[in-house]
Parts: sequence; structure tokens; C-alpha cells
Amino acid sequence: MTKKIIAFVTLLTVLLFTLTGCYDSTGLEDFYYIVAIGIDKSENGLIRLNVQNAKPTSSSDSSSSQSNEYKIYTVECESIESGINILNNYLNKKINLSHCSAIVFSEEVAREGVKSYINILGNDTEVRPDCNLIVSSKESSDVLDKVSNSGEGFSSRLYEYILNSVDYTGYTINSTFNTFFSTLNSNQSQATAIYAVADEDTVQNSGAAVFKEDVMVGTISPIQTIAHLMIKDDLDSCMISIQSPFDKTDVIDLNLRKNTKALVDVSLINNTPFISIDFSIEGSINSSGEDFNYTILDNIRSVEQSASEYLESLIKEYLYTISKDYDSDIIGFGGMLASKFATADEYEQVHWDEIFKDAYFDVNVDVSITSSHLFNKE
Amino acid sequence: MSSNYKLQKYEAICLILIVMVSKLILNVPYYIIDLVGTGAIINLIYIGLLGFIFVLCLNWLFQKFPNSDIIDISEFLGGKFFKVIMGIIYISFFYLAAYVTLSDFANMLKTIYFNNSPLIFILLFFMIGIVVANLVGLKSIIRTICLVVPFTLVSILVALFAVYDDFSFDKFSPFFGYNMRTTFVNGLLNTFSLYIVTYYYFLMPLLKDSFSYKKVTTWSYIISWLLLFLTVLSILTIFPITNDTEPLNALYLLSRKIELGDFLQRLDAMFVLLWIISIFCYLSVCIFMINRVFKKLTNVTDEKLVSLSTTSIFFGLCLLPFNVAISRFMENNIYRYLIIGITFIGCFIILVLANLKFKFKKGNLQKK
Repeated sequence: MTKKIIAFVTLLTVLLFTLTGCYDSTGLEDFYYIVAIGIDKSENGLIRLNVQNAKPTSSSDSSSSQSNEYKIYTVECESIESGINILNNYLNKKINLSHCSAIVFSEEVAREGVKSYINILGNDTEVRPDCNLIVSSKESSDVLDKVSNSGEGFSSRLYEYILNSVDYTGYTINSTFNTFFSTLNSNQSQATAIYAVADEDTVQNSGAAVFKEDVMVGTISPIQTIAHLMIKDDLDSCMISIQSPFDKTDVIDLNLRKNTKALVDVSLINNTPFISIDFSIEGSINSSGEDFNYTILDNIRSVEQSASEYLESLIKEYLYTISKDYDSDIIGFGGMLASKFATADEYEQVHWDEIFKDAYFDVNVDVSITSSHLFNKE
Repeated sequence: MSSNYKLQKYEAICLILIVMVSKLILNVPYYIIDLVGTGAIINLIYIGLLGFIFVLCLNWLFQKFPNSDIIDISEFLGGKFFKVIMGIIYISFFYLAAYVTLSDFANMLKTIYFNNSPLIFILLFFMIGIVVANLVGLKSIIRTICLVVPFTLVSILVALFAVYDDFSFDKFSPFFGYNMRTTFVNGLLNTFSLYIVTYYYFLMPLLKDSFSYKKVTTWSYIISWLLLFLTVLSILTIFPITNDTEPLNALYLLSRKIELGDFLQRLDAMFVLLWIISIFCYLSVCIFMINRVFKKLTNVTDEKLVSLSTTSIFFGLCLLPFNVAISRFMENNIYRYLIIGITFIGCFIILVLANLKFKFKKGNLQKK
């Protein structure tokens, strides 16, 4: 019995120490939780690191946990790590990236190459794989500063709201740190990032930035991004306006949704890539214009024909932009061709990087209008 | 005495699975991919089949030696001297396996969660657990393993399920990897990933029913191979195959990417907790094996009593300087060749020769 008591007391004493916390324990108050990072080029060859943190509201009656204010700290440094170190010293708190929603590169930085920055951030266990990756048309600090377009209170979720529009507009892409890092290091496809255009007092996501290896080579427009998402099978729904087949001055608004996955076939004809893409897209008429009676089946067929032609032209324009203008296989056609070869040695003989710019595209789109139940005929 | 605890079929299978899980945690799947590229799928099927034939051969060869492990068989074949040599080889081998595992894992933990803590604290956490587990006996180790293994299996299935969206056959192509030679000839070196076979040499005397040996080895091999296959499949889906990057812990990076909708994110913390327990179980098994072999060499009455000494030596080993370069060299070179040399060639030859000797002796007895 005495032995049991001694063992019990010893165990309790040991357990007491575990409740005191470690000497190196850290709490919420020890960190600055960064919402976004921006990287710009400095005049003297260094980088300018911008970090944005949300200032918690001091008002006690606020029921929301969201902050209405933010602060941007900027420091010139040689690398991201050294910049964070300088800021740690300045802020007297440790910067923590575990709540970082966006990493923003200025276009100038992106056009020089981002691999070194991505590799540094990739080794940081605090950076979330789903953190958004954005290229800003101007300074990255502009995006950080003007992110709150709608006058809504600032919060880390603002970045998510802005980028969530991809689900219903198709005007931008969903580019996370994880996917960017993977494609950056892949030999089967090239990387893309969200492209944000900063105006005087607003910032708007506007298409996608196209990379070749780690260097940004150009952008695709928001409407071309719809084509990109369609081929990648990432489009949920979007709205397009096509010229009315009945009155050239009128437009018809169509809401499109993917019906089946795009059928892509990549083959080589005389060592030139021949890529055929077949789509089946479902659509509904959102507004029909004055001279269009959608209750007549032949009229629906005409609209389907017009929509198919419009989309074929749009997709071809996009495909020739990425192949001829940018020579960047952001879809991953190379990977599709690789599946036709038994070994990587055989595939390497194709020299995909050199022949992609000569690719010929055959696009067939089949649009079917499945719903046109508007409340009015126009 | 709990040191004489015998394993049920299910417990023995879990014991083998925990060994495989420890290998999966420590980047072995990526070493497979690193060698053969996208040919890893074909390569795994190929070495899996070869390994299965090997396991069937082991089952047949062990039929003549019920309740004996490789140390007993070595004694039968080459006398006490040979037994001592084999014992020392295996003690060193288990120490090396445990050292590489703990050093690598402790460094990973330090990098992820305990940047400011000295490594010795993390090591001590494991050491205390290992000593206590071994002092209590095999029963406690096995019960913990049986509790952990189902969760670990589920976690690996969750990892596969989570990368389902990114799943595409293009990621595994070209299917035969760099070239046929790399996949089928050089790729034979990937048999080191079937390290679990080493434990089959020691399993027979641990079983409650030695007749279940065949079932235990067959089922544990199939499940282990499936685990390895699924992990490689998940990693191939997520990570690009290039020479530029190499994830130093692919399974951890994979776990970071797992999201179940918007409400379950950053599941890596849960995975790491599971892995800590798995590694602790595996290390306890390693020390148990060292104690067991030591007991056979020295005729110590209770192997539990040497736990403190063996764990102290293990602790000392782990204090040796360690970095990623050493880890990579150990896993990819020394360990790879040691497993193939000792487990797949050396011990197999010993078993075959012991069977021949057995047959020869039996023939002589029948003649007399």
C-alpha cells in the first residue's frame, strides 16, 4: 500500500511539471500574424518585402472577430528570410506566416524569376499550401493596400473572397502556393498565377500570369482564362455574351457549365504536335434580346451553333497565345503526350519544349442549351 | 512472465505493419521514386511480386525449423561461433535501423514543431518511452501497436483520398520510368523498401501458434506492400518528378496538402501525432529485438533487464552528429545495400544451407 502511495505521489509530482509549460513555450501574444506578403524590386538591387497584418479591434462591444484595420510594414532586404528577421527585430514580436492568405509578387519581380523566393517559402513550415499566389501589375504593396475594394472591413478572408470569384466568373484562376510550387518544378507543365491589376484605388483580379520555368512571360486576359479553365476542367460556371444570330446588333447572355470533361488528344505528325480538344458544354440563356424567341427549337439550335463557334474561336485564340506568343505549355499537353511513350528516354527524343510553339490545334465545342426558362421572352 | 508473451495472428501482422509504417514516414517511398521516376508503379509491382515469391520460399524453408529464428538456425548450421557472428550482425543492424529512424524523425520533429528546443529533449522523450515499454514487456508494446496500426492505415487511405482530385494518369507516365534498364535492373535495389522481411526471420518463436507463420507472413506482406504502393501513388500524384527538387519528407508534405472541404484543414498535426506513436512503437520493437538477440547470445535469463543498457547505447548513438546528408547517405546507400545483402541474400543462403544440412542429417539418421 505504501509503495502505491509513493508511486502515486511521484507520478503526480512529475505530472505537475508538465503543466507548467516549457521554457520555450510561445503564445498568441508572442507573434505577429501576417495576412499577406508582398515582394517588390528595390532600386538598389535588393528586394522590398511588404508584410500586412490585421490590427485587432479594441472595441469591446464588437461581436466580430474580424479586424477592420491593417498595417503594412516594408523593409528592404537581400532575401525574404533576412527581411523577416529585420521585421522581427523592429516589431519585437516574431512574424508568423501560418495565417498568410496571399503571396504577392510585383510583375517586375515575376519577370526576373521567382524560383528562389518560392523555394525559401516552400521550406517554411508555417506557409499554408493553400495560400494564394498573385502577380501584381504594379507594386505588390498596391495590392496589399487596395485589396478592400468593396469598402468592407479588412480581414484575411478578403483575399479568399476576391479569389473565390473564379467559381462563378471564370475570369481568373485558382493559384495556390502548392500548385504553383508543383508546376514550377514539373517538366510536364508550366506554372500560372493569379494576375491582379492595381488601379488608383482598387485592385482587381484580371486573368492569369503565364510563366515559362520560373519567369513570367505574359498574361492571358480574363476571357481567355475561361478557355484555360475549360481545358483544365476547372471551370464551374461562367457567363458569356455572344452576338445574336438573329440581330447582329444584339447580344445574348449565356450561362455555361461544364457538361463532361474535355477530351484532349495530343499526337505528333511529322514531329509537330497536333492537339485536338473536344468539349461538351451545357448552357442556359440568361437574357435573350428583342428579336429572339427562345420557345422555337430552331432558334435554340442557332444559338447553340453561335455559342459553339464563339467558344471555338476563343479557345483557339487562347491556345495560339500560349503556344506562339509565350511558348509556355501551361495546360500540360507535354504530360499527355508523355503517356503515349513507354519510357522517359523515348519521350525526351521528342524535345517537347522546342516543338510546342509549332503546335496545331483542332477545337470542337458542342454547346447544348438545356434551359431557357426565363420569366419574360426577352 | 510477460517476456514470454506470444503473439496472436493479428498482433503479429500489426507488428510487421508498424515496421512498414516507420519506413513510409521516413521518406522511403520517395527514395523508390527517386531511383526509377514514374516507373515506380511498375517497379513496385515487379519487386512486390519478386518479394512475394521470396516470402513463399521463406515459409517453405522455415517449415523444418518450427520455433526457431535465424539465430537458432545459424547455430544449427555453423555452431556457436557462427551464432555469435550472426547475433552481432543483427544487433548492429537493428541499432543502425533504430539510429537512422530516430535521428531522422527527431530532426524532422525539431524542424516542424520544436525549432528552439535542443534535440536531446526530443530524443529523451523517445528513450524514456522505449525503456518503460521494454521493461513492461512485449505485451505492452504489442497492445500499443494494435491500437495504433488501424488509425495509421486509415490515415494513409485518407491521404490517398485527399489527392483524388489531382489524380491523373499523366502523372505516372511514361509508365516504364526513365528506361527499362533503370526500372527492371537498377530498380531491383528498391527491394530494400521491403525491409519487413527482416522481421520474418525472428517471427516464428514469437508466435503463439507456429503454424500460423505462413498466414502471418503472407498477409502482413500483402498489406505492407499495398501501404507502400498507395503511398507511392499519392506522392507521385502530388510531387513533380524532377532532379531539381527533392522533398526531404514526402509524406509530411503530402499530409500538409490534405484538406477535407473547408472545415478540415491542416491535418498534418494529427498525422504527426500518429507518427510519433508509430515511431515510438517501432523503436521499442527494435530495442526488444536487440534484447532478444542479446539474450540468445549471452544466456541472460530475462531480456527485459538489459533494456536500460541497450537503450543507453542507443541514446549515445543518437547523440552522434546528424544531418540530412548523413540521413540520405545512410538510407540510400548503406541501409539499402545492407538490407539486400543481409536479409535477401545472406540469411536466405543460411536458411537454404540449414535446410540442406537438416535433410542430410535426417538422411544419415534414416540410413543408421
